[in-house]
Amino acid sequence: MSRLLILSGKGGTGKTTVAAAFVELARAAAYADCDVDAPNLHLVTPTTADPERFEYVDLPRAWIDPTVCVGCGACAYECRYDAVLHEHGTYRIDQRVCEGCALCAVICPVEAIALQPVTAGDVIVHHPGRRVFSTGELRMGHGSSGKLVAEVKSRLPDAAPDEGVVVLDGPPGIGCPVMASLTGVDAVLVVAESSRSGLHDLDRVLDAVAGSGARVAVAVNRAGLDEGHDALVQARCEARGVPVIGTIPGDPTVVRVTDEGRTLATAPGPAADAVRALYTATVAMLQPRSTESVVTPSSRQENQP
Amino acid sequence: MKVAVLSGKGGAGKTFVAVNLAAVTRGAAYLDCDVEEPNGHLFLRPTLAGSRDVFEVVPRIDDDACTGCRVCVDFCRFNALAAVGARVLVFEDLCHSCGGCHVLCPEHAVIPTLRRVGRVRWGAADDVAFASGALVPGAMSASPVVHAVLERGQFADDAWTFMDCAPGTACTVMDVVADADVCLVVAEPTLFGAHDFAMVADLIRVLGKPAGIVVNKWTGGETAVDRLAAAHQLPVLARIPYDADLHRLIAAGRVASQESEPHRQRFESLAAGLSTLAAEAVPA
Repeated sequence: MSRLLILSGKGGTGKTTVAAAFVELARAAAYADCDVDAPNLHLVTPTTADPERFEYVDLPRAWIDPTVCVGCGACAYECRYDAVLHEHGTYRIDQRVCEGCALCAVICPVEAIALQPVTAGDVIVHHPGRRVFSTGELRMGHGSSGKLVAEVKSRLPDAAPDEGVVVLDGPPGIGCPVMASLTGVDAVLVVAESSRSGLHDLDRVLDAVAGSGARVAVAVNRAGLDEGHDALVQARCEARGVPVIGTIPGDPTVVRVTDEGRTLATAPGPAADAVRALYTATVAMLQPRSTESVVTPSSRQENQP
Repeated sequence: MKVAVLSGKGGAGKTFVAVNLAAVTRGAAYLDCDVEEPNGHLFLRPTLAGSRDVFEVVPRIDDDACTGCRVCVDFCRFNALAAVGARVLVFEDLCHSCGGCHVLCPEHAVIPTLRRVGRVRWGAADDVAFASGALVPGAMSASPVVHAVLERGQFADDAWTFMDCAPGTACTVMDVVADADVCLVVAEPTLFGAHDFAMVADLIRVLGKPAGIVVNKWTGGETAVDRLAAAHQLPVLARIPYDADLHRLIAAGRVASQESEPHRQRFESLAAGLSTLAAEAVPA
């Protein structure tokens, strides 16, 4: 069994479109949506009406008992997150800002501070047929999406090595949720966009995955939008030693098919043809081989002006 | 007046809208708060006036002073400290920089040290004031970098500041929205776009901020986004039709309102709509 993670850096480049088509083409026995901030994979892949739900409980957050607090302000003085609010002479914790370190509770001279459990999200596990689809939803304003991603992945079965591809739809960006998604994956397919923003963000996501040990390949989506950037994306990948294994042209069919809740797996049109070819190339990449592609770290860490 | 430009779904057109609004508004500022993938500079191409690294504080253990008492190890809720024999090891990736180990160590053996997590840059593009944050790829917390951008972007109350957010509704987006006077949600009228717009609409309701909607890549008619906006009583301030030429301009990193008169008018009218929304929202 190989675990394939689809990433993009930039949002909206087509991660979920590619992941959903791969789920169908691979008849994946297990798949997951690691974009817990804005999950979409369930809109276009098989689900069940009564999935299992598990609350994701984060570290408990501080709470000041106003009947015990003597207003000394020690908690506010030490809190590194500025989570202690001082209003109208009383202290209270902004639980949205609190990270649950418990320093305030430890140093409070009158033991006025308790730690209260919080539910920061939900893990939702569907069992369509004999398959497993694990997805998660971060509750609004919570910051620990990396840990929720780990929870979502933990619900996937540890299947035997010969059970094909496990498809993981990743989050955008290059931060904590992406790093949590990367743990334990065999290969990463980066869906890049042929644009000035797409090129910039591709570079950053390749920096983030360098050193993960996973094989990395790139597919270029919306190719042909800007021919200059088609060539620049190709050249950048070549310079960094990352193979470009697919090119998906802009195609209005994609939105139409997706809006019907379907994937590109069996759809008509040039984009669907390209995604099917990309799937074949990805399966070939997942085969064991002697020479591994290694991402060269960028010469520039952040290529801002 | 501070405007948080947000979207649930990535790629809906936040940066496109924020950059163009800043370009058509006299004396405006643009803040790139999408520190994981900041793109505003690729369009505005600012002349930088300065930059600085953003750090987090992580512990270093002075092995000579440490007696192995384990006070820090037992305190740390993030499992960033571990006792191995009489020594304490630090796992920086797990540290949340709460400072508790430093405060509580009876031997003063925990030395705060800096870990670089990003960089904030500032300058100007023509008369648009500019600030942008960039997270180090793989760094665990974007919050310090977002806050560094917000600190850099404190201008006079009558100046328009457009704050380009990260996608989603996580805590860094909440921090920017909390700092804003008005929200502008850019939504794509697709199945994914409508689903993610609903999440953002909930966030706006909870935070109680006035908000307007831009339907981007509009292909005509009343869309799922329009229906959701109506259900949430949020006004649609603009519909930007899908246009292959416009998308070519964006792909090439051009500011559309500086390239074509119809686009300039479209964003001027959106800015006027925001003005009205903000004026109505300000308590008398």
